[in-house]
Amino acid sequence: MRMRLEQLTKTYKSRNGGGAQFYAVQNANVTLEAGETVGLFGDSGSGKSTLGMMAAGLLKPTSGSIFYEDQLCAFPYRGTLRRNIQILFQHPEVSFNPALPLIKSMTEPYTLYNLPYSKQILVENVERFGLHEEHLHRCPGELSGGELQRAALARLLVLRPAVLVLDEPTSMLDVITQAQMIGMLRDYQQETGASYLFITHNRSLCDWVCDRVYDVEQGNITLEE
Amino acid sequence: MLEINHVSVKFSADSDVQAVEDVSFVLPEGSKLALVGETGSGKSVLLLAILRLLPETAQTRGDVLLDGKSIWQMKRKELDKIRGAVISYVPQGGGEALNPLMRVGFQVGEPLMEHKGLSRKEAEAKSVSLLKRFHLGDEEALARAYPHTFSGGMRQRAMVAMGIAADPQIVLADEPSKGLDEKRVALVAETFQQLGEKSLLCVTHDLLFAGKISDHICVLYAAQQVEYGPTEKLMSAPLHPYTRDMLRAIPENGMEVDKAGFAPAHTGYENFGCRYRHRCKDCMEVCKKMPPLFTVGDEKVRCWLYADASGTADKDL
Repeated sequence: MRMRLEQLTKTYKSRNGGGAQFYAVQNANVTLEAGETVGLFGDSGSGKSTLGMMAAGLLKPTSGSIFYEDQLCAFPYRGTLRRNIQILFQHPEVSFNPALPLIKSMTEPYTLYNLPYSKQILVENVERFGLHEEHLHRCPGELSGGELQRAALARLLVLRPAVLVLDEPTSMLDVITQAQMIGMLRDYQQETGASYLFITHNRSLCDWVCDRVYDVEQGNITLEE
Repeated sequence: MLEINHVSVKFSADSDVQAVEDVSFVLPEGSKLALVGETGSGKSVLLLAILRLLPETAQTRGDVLLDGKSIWQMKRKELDKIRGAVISYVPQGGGEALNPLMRVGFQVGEPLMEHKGLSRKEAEAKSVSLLKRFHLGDEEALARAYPHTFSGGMRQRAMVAMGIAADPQIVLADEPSKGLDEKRVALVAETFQQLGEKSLLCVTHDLLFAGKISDHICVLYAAQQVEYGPTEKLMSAPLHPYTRDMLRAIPENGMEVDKAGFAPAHTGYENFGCRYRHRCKDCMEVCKKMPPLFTVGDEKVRCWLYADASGTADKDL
């Protein structure tokens, strides 16, 4: 089993409710096999993004545990664990430093993990995602949402992650770009056997992409039959 | 009536970026038009250009006429009278455009103080009834609340309420359904269906949403108008290969797509001929030349496939 979330809970204290606890996610159990796409389906505010953030190691669970390849994951993720579990956000704008030209942000994975890097490698990489060298010299504000999201995916796949948390990766994109992104993700999955945790509120997309689907409603997670 | 006449917008940075190229259409009174296109196709820029809301680096050509009078030639004072009162603009984004330090009720009622001479008290009272039209629930309390306590869908509806506060004839809306879940999208669509006599020009990347709220659709691709026609016809029997590919890429229709095809870079348009030809299944030799906008019945399409079917090509192009 690639990944397992056990009795994962995240609570917040409501500020004016006299310290009453608010459950964003309650006792979530999710399993993820190698090469599998598992969907988290729910409305906005249901807690699906909170669960995704915890799985990606960006948010500390209040209680419960996360296992990767049957090893207990400590928070925060470090080393190879950090590299193997990556997240792609809904809003591509938050993935990039707005003050840096794209090329500076795109070189980060290479420098962080000492990967062989040259400008040519970078350009070849982004060209596979339909971006051109010219795009790399612009700042995030000068690129469209679809272009930024493809750049974010290109940057992320450089690390060859085994688990990808996809937090509504296509809800800001037009239908053709959405279908292309899904195609790119499918190619990567077939090539490497990566597992996806696919968070979405689009029913037809969810049915199309996912092997299994969990319903998320007010913090409660149930596996769909 | 709003007329968009041969509007072009160019951003001059290090290299010129063509955002909108020679787009023309008419928005008659009471009609609902959806501008559809992918991200970066120039649809939002076109919307901003109408009310001259673009930054100074933008160079514009063409003209926008409101009931025969040019908006682009107006003096600042005249323009202020029109913005919000005759034509209102509902910006993109789940409500980042609302001022976080002011109560929602005040912001929704502000156009009434600006254009109708209402006092602050009257305007805020009126804003409650405006919010009620959009079924937010407990509108009195919400009017006194700050924007951050609203969900994205609520903010979106509050912004539409603000947009129609001063009873404008024309509403310009930028991506009102973006990022919202299906239930909220349905609510926003319902909101727009209640606009009645007002004209609507709505930018969206969501074809299904466009189908629900519009009577005509204009499709933009790589800064150009590629198809224009009645919504029903365009959704059931699209003419342009791009529109067809878009409909095929919807999950309900099987998400069939050419993985390798992308829009050309903004600066490389001039070498392209038809800008869709690199992704087009029906590409022919003649496509190396830019097709004009052909008229086929009551529809317009920029594709050589319709060169024989059309009576007249737009001679200005």
